[in-house]
Amino acid sequence: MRPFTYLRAPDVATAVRAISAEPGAKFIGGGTNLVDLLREDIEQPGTVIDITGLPLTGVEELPDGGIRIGALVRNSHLAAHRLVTTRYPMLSQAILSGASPQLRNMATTGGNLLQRTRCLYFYDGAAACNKREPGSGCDAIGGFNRQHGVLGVSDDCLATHPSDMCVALAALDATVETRSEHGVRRIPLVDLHRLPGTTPHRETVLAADELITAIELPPPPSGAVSRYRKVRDRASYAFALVSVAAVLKVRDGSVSTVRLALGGVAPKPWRAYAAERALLAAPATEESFTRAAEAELTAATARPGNAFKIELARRTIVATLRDLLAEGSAA
Amino acid sequence: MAIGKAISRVEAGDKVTGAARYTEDVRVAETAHAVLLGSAISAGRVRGIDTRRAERAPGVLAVITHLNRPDFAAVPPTPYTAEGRMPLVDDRIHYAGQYIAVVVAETREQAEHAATLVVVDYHRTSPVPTLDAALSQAYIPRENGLARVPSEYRRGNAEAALAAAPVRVEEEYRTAALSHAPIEPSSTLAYWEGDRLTIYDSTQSVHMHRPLVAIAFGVPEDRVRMYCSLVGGGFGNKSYSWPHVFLAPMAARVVRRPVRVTISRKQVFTGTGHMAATVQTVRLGADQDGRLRALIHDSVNQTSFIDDRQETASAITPYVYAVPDLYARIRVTKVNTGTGGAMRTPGDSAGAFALESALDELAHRLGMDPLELRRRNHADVDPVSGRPWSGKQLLACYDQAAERFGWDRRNPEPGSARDGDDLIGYGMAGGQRTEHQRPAQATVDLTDDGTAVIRSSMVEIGGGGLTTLSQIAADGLGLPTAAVTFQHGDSALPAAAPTFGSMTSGSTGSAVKLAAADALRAAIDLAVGDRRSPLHGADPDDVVAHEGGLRLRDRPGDGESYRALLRRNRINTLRGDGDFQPEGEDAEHAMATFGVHFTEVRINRYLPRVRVVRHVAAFSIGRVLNAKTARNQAQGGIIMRLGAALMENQRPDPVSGRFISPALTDYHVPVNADIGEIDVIFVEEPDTNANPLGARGLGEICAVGICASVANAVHHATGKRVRSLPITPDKLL
Amino acid sequence: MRLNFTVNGRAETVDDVWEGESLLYVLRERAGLPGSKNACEQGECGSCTVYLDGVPVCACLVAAGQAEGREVRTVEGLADGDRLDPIQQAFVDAGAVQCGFCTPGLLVQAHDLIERVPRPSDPEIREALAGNLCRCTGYEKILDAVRLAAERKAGAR
Repeated sequence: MRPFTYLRAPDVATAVRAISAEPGAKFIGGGTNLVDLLREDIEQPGTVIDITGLPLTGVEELPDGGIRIGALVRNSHLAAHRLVTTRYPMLSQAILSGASPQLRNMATTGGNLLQRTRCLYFYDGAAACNKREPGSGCDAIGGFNRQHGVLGVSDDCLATHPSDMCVALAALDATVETRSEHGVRRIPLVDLHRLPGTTPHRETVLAADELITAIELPPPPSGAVSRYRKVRDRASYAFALVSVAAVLKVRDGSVSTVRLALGGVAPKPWRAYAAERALLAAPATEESFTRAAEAELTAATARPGNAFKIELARRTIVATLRDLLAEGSAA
Repeated sequence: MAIGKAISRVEAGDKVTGAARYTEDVRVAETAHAVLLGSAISAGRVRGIDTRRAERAPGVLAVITHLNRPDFAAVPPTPYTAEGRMPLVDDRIHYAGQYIAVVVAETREQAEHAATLVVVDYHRTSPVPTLDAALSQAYIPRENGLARVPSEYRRGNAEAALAAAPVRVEEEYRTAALSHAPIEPSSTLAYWEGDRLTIYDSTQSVHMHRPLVAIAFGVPEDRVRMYCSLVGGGFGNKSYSWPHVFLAPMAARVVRRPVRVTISRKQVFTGTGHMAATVQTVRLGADQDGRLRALIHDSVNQTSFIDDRQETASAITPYVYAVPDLYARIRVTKVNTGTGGAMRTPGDSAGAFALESALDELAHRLGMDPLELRRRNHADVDPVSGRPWSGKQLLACYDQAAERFGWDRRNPEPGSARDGDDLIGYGMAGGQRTEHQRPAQATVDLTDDGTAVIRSSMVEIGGGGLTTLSQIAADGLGLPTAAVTFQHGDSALPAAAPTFGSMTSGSTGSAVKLAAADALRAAIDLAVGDRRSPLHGADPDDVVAHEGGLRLRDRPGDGESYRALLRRNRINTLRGDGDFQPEGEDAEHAMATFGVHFTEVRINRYLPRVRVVRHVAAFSIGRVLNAKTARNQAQGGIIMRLGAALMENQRPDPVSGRFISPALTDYHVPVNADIGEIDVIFVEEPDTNANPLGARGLGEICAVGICASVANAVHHATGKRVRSLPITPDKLL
Repeated sequence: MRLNFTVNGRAETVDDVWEGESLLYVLRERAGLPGSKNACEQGECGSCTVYLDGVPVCACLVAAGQAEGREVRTVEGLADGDRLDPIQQAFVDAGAVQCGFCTPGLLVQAHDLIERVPRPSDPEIREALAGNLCRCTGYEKILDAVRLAAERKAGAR
C-alpha cells in the first residue's frame, strides 16, 4: 500500500470542500472495497477522506410513503430496518444475499453503489485491463470470462457490476442524491452507472468532487409482490452468476405492473426495460415470461466462457416471475 | 481407558481464548519483516530489476534479488524441498508468482510499500499456459526423488482382456487444480547466532525440514533448531519447504537481524503448491454379471518446468478391486505453473473420481446396483502382492453405510426421484488409501508429582494428535489424560513422524505407546527391587499400572503411587523411550484404509446448482483413538472434498498461464451454508497387524471417493454424466 | 498518527501508526493481541473478526484511523477472567476446534449471533457464519457448538 494523507471530515460541507481541493482524493466509508483496492495497489489516492462521521446515517419515511436512506447507513442496518422489511422486502433480500454479515456490518449504502467490479483481470495487476489502465487492453476477452457480462458490454470491457443491492434499487426506481461545491443533484439510479463503451474506466456520471448523500425510494407499487433471486456457485458468500429483482402485479390474469432488473450480467445494475415492455398487459403466463426474457436477452452478446449466462438469465427471470405469480395469487 | 473416548482436545482452551501461539504470533525482539515480490509473467527472464527507489523507501533494510543474493551452499534433496530450483538463483522465470526479489524493512507495511516501487524489466517468452495446451507432450517422468511411486504398473494383459470383455466403459475424466488454501498463510521467522540458526516455521514436520535448511545454508544439522507447535491447517502444503522457508534465513543473514516472512494470501496459492489438474482415462471391461475382467487407468497431470511431480492418480488403482488384468500409468507434462504438491489426499482423491465414476457408468450399463458391482469385485487380499490385509472391514462399511443412508430406497432410473422443482439423486463411491508408516521416536517421562510428560517433535495441525497421543500415554501408565502434558513441535525433541500422510496415529502414536510401556517397565523394576515398596519382590509381569501408580494384577490392594515410589527413591523423572520402526517391505500384511460414501443431492431443475443435503460415509481404519476428534476430522475431510466436487478450481489464465483467482473471493471453498447433514460411521477393529496401537490413519482416507459419489448422485438425479470437476451450475443447464 | 481507542475495556493510545495500517495490524503488532488472525487481508475469511462498537467486522478491512475513539473487543476479551464465555466453552465441548486458526473470528461472530438471536435456527446459524471460512471444514461441529451455546445461555436466563 502506498502512503496517503488521512483526513477526517466532520460535516458534508467540509468533505466536499476537501475533495475539491485534492484531485485524486477518495472518500472512505465502510472501506470494504477501498481498503482492499488500496492494498492491491489498484487505487492509489494521495488523500483518503474519512466520511464515517458525517450525519448521513438515518432511514426516514417520506411524505409520499417512500423512504430516504442516508448514504452512510450500513448495509446490515438497512436490511433489518422495519421500513425496508415491511415496504421493500426485496431490498432486504438483495442486501442479505450479498457479501457476509461482517462485511455488511461495515459497508455503507453509498459505498455499495460505487463498489468496483470483481473482474479477475481488473484485480490482477499483471493483466491488461482498460478499466484499471485505460488503453492497455482487456485480457478477459481472450481469457477466462465465465463471470463476465453479456449485456451492455463492449469490445473494451466485459466486467460486471458486483452489487446485489443496486439491482433491487434499480427495480425500485431509486434516486441518488449527491452534493458537491456546485450544489445538490438528483440522479435516477439507473442513470448513475455508465456503460463501458471505449471508456470503461469512467464508471459513473459522478464528478470527481461529488459526494453521495442519500438514496430515495418512491412508495412501492401497491398490491405488487416482489422478490430478489440470486444464482451463484455456492450457497452463500459469492457474487452472482445471475440475479433478478422483480416486482409484479397481476390483474385479471394480465400483468398490470412489472419491474425487472438483472445482476451479474452487465456493467451496471441492468433494468430490463425490453422485458418489461413485453410483459406489460400480457397474460401472466409462463409463455409470456419466457417471451419477455427472450426480448431482453436478444441483445445479449456472449463469449465462449459465459454463453451459459444467457440461458441461466432466461431461466432465472422465468423462475422468479413464476414464483411471484404463485405468491401473488396465493395472497 | 482413555483411548477411544470422546474427550475434548487438550489445547482447545488456548485456541478459544486467543492464547494459542502460531508461527506468526511468535515475537522475537528486533525482528525485521520481509515481503516477497513475485513475477508478473509466467515464462521468460528478468532482464533488469531496478530496486533503487525501493531501497530508499522508509524503513527499508535490504532488497535482495538474483543479482545480489548470497549463495546457497547446496540444493537440498527433494521431495521435501518443494522445488528443485532454489529461489533467486538466476534470472529465469518458470511461473507467475515465482519470487524475484525479497524486500526487508522495519515493518511489514513498509516492506509491502517498497515492493510496489521495484521496477522489473521482463523478457517474455511464450508460456505453456494450461494442462490442455501441454497434453500432447505428456511423458513418463524419469525416476528421481520426486517420482514417489512407479509410473507404470501392469498385471496380465489388460488390452487383450479389455478387447475380449463383453461389456466396456471407456471415458475421460478431468479434475481441476485445487488449492490447499489453509486459513493460516505460511510464515517463517529466522535468526542467526553465529552459525546457529533458529527457525520458527509453519511446517508439518520440524524433523523432515530441518536438514533441508541445514544443507541449503551449509551448517551442521545440529546447529539448526526448528520450531512449530501449532499449524493453522496445511493439508499437505506445509509438508514441503517452499522457497520462502529458505529466503527468511537468507534475509536474516543479509540484514543481521531476525527476519519474518509471512506470505500473502495470493502467495499461498502460487507459492505453496496445489493439487495438480489431471486428465484421466479409465477403460473397464466386465462380464455380464459385473465381474471386472480388465482395467486400464491412465493419468496425466500438469507439472512445472522445474520439477517432475506426479499427481499419482492411478497409483492406488491396482490395489482396489480384484481385477486380473490391469494397467496403470502416470504421466506428467510441463506447464508454466509452480510445482504442485501433495494435497489431502494425493493421487487417490483425483484417481477415485475417475475410477469410481467409471464403475458407476459400468453399473448403469449393466443394469446393476453400483454397490453390488463393488461387492462382486471386492479384493479379499491385496491384488498386487497377494498378501492378506492387516485389517479390512470394507464389506461391513458397505452394509452399515448403505443401511444408514437408506440406499435400498433408490430407484435406479435416473431422474426418477423428485420433490417439487427439485430433482433428487442418490450416488455412492468407494475409496482406498495405502497406509504409510515412518519411524518415530518419543519419550515419556514419569515425574515425581505423579504426572507424565511426552516429548516428541510432533506438530499439531488440527488433527488432534496432541490429544490422542496424550490419551495413549495416559492409558499406558494408568493416568488420567489431564495428568499428561506434551512437549512438541521442537527439533530438539525426539523425532516424530511427520504430521502428514496420516502417520501421526499409527507411527508417532506407536512410539508414544512404546515409550509409555518402557516408562512403566522402569517404574515396575524400580518398585519390585525396592525393599520399601509394597511391591518388593513381586514378579514384574504381575505388576500393572493403575490409577496413578502400580499394583499387583491379582491383588488390587497391594500397590503404591508413582509419586510415592519416585519420591522415596529421590528420582525426579523416570524416562521411557519409544522407537517405532515400521516393518517396511517385508511386512506380512498389506496395509490400507478403506471407505465408502453415499450422497444425496438435490438440484433445482430450472436453476441447477447441486446441493448435497445428506452424506453418509463409513471407514475402516482399525481402532479409533478419540471419537470426538476423529468424527470432526472425517466430516471435515468430506466437506473439503465436496468443495472439489462442486466449486474449487484454481484456474490458469488460458493465455498467460497465471492463476487468475488467487484470492478466497474467487477460489471458492465451501462455506457453512453449503453443508447438509454429514454422517460418519467407523467400523472399528483394532489392527495390531499394522502397528502396536492398532490404529491406521484417518486424515486422508476420509477425503477419497466423495467427488465420484457426488457426480454419481448428479447422474442419478439428472441423467447427466459430468466427467469434469467441479460440477458447477453451467454444466447442468 | 496517534490512535486512541478502547480494546477489551482498556484504553489504548498508540503512536506512530501509519495511515495505511489496518486495525488488525494495530491489534496484532502494536497492542499485543495476536488472537485475531491474519489470514486473507481481504475480508474474505472472517478470521480477523472483532467487535467494533459492538458490531462484528473484519479488522483487516478497517483502516486504522477509522478505529479512532471507538471500542474494540477481540477474542481475548470474550472470557470473563478465567471463566470462558458460553460460546467458547461450547466450542471446546462440542469439539468444534481443529487447527484453530479460524476459531477466534468464528467465536466473535457466533457470540454476536446468539446475543442478537438467542435461539437461532440451523439455516440462520449457517448463514450468519457464512463469512467465516473453516478449511478443516469443521462446519458440522461448529453448528453443534452454536446450538449448544444458545441452549446453555437460554437455560441460564
